[in-house]
Amino acid sequence: MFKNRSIKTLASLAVLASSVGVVASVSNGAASAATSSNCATSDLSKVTSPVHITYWESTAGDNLKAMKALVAAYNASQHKVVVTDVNQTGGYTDTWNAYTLSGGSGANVFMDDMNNTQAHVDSRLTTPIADCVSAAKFSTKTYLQKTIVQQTIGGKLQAMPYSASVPVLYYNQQAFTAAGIKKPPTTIDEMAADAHLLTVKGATFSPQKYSDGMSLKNDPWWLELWSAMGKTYYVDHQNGRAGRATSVSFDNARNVSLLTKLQNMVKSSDAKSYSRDGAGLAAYNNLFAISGDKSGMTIDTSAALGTIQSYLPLFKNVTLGVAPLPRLLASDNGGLQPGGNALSLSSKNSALENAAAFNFISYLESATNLASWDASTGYVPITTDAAKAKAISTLWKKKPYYKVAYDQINTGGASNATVGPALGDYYQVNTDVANSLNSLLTNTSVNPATAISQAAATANGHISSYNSSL
Amino acid sequence: MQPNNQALLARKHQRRRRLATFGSYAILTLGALVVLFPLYMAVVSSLLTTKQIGQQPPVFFPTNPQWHAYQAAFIGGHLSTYMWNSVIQTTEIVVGSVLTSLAAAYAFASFSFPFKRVLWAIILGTLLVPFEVTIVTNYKTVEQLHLLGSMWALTIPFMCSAVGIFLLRQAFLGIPQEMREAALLDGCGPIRYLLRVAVPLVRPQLAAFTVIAVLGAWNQYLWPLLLTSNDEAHRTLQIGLKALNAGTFEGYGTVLAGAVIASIPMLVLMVVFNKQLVRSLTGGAVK
Repeated sequence: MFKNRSIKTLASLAVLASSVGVVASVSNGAASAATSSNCATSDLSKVTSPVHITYWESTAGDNLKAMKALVAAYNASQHKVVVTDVNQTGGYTDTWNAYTLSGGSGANVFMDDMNNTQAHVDSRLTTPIADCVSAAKFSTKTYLQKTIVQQTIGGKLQAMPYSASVPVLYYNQQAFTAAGIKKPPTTIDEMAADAHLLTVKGATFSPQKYSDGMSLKNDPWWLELWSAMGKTYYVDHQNGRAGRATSVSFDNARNVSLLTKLQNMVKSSDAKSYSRDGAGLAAYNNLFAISGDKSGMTIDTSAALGTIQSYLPLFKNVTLGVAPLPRLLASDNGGLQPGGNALSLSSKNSALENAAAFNFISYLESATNLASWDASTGYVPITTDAAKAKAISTLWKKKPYYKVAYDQINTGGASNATVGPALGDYYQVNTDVANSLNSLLTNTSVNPATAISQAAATANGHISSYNSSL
Repeated sequence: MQPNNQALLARKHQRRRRLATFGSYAILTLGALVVLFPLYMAVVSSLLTTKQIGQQPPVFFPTNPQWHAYQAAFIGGHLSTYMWNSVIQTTEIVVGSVLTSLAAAYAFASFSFPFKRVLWAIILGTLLVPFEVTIVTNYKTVEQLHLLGSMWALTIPFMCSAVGIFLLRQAFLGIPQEMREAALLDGCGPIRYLLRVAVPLVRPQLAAFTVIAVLGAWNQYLWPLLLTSNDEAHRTLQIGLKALNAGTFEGYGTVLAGAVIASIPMLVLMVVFNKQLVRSLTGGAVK
């Protein structure tokens, strides 16, 4: 053993440094406190040098190209604001994680899932966009009111709705004709009957076609939507909009009836169940089942329409049909709540940065730019002005099925019951429902009432745990 | 026992051994196929047309291989830049963690100093803390050091490795005490002993740790993802791969081509350093 004192000291330091390096993570970092901010729109017009803002968006592929083009056009259109667009490759969840990790200083304005707005409010890392709407005297009258009510929490518009989509029924018109089905189903009962017809008629074809009837994706979002269609609440306190949600409300006879009908379709082999969590190409298996003549219809997001449409020329056996999401009861008139994304402002912005960021948002959401964005991405226009713009009216004229999703959002009026839940722990509750739905549709011996009760119990535990952490 | 019976028994044993060997190989071959099939399909799918990728049943052999996906991934998807960033990041992490691990392990194995046991316990204790738990503090640390936006932010938190210190300390302890004493008597100082005697003797363990460090650094995802939120210039290969995923059928061939490109350096490493890697995994099994 070496006894040299100086070497021993050096060794101690080396070990200590390594130890500190290794265990640095065990202590806690200081949390950043959120600050409130207003919106200096009048100051923005007086600036002599441009205000620089950072914008985070989570687009990909052709949507990314369209977004980059819009940002470049904005920067070229004026000299008061310079936007740096930083694409976030990890999707909404990772973007939100990175944003919270930066203590709100990562971006001045960012794009996030429409359903995550309650988490924004709880984090105090965003500032209500209502401040800027008011300061800039920006009118939200032309917005589809469901998008506005959905983003309003605590009486204030928190984030600016941007891209919207809803689920629609995709069907193969050739399959429907072959099975003698005259029009797409409008209720779940009709959907089940048509799925059965597809399998029965299919048996006479050679080779056998449409043997799966319908490809049914187990997406927990559907449960929220079917609740909203019937104007019933998904969580308490009027969907968490009259007060903080403390428990779920979806454990009811209506949803038991809905899940029983869906499970019966799988039980009778008139539908095949597909997981919503499929990785890579497996995420599209419900659609591939249609192109592969296994199934005649499926339910999926309208945001997939652009991709499906571009893929259609490869499959001569498919003639695309798009219909509204079938209702549980013929009397359901709540329409559908939008999914998609919204734009939020950082609570770390100065008043001038808020004004600059809002100026940019206003540009993105002008009728022409919204229409251009929606036409190139397949999203639903969220303002009536954008819907009237040439890019959209031409698209709808040529391909009327693009309008189906828009009409569904416009149905039913905007109320707390028809815009979906405001939940801080939205993703966890979503996962709890997904797990139950998956077990119900993959194991047909599972009782629907038990499955939904289990989902409710687990979700209530998570909501309670989240609320107590605030 | 009669000679005939003995010969019969020997033949029976031999037949059993052959059967057992055949069975083992059959099971191992099946296992290898299960592991290799997804990789094979990734390569095949990256060479297919868009229609073929979505075809049911799947296409197992590309009759007319399409190479444009590789060009799209490497040039259009900027994988060449991301790969270079990954090379720099991996090199910095590996060099840093090897040097600090060698120094600390040597100290723990060779010297007496205050709080040695406590420090050793703390270092071992960090092995129980998942990386995700440490993200916030590490982020705040690099932020306060004003390292955000530099490659150092991606590498410094990984330049000390408890695994490396543990592995190398055990290796140093395995060197006979007499060798150290002999070196001392011959006038060898502690640094010289480390560099000239100890390190060459623990080369296998050092190589094993280097391979582990390379694999870990190359495949990092969450940390670089969070750190490069505002720093596209330093994004690494794994982040670039995620960016290739356009969420469309059309982009799928490019994603698979990117995945194949990203896995090549690690496959080469695995083949070249297979022995060291296996040794690192099984080294402690018989001690």
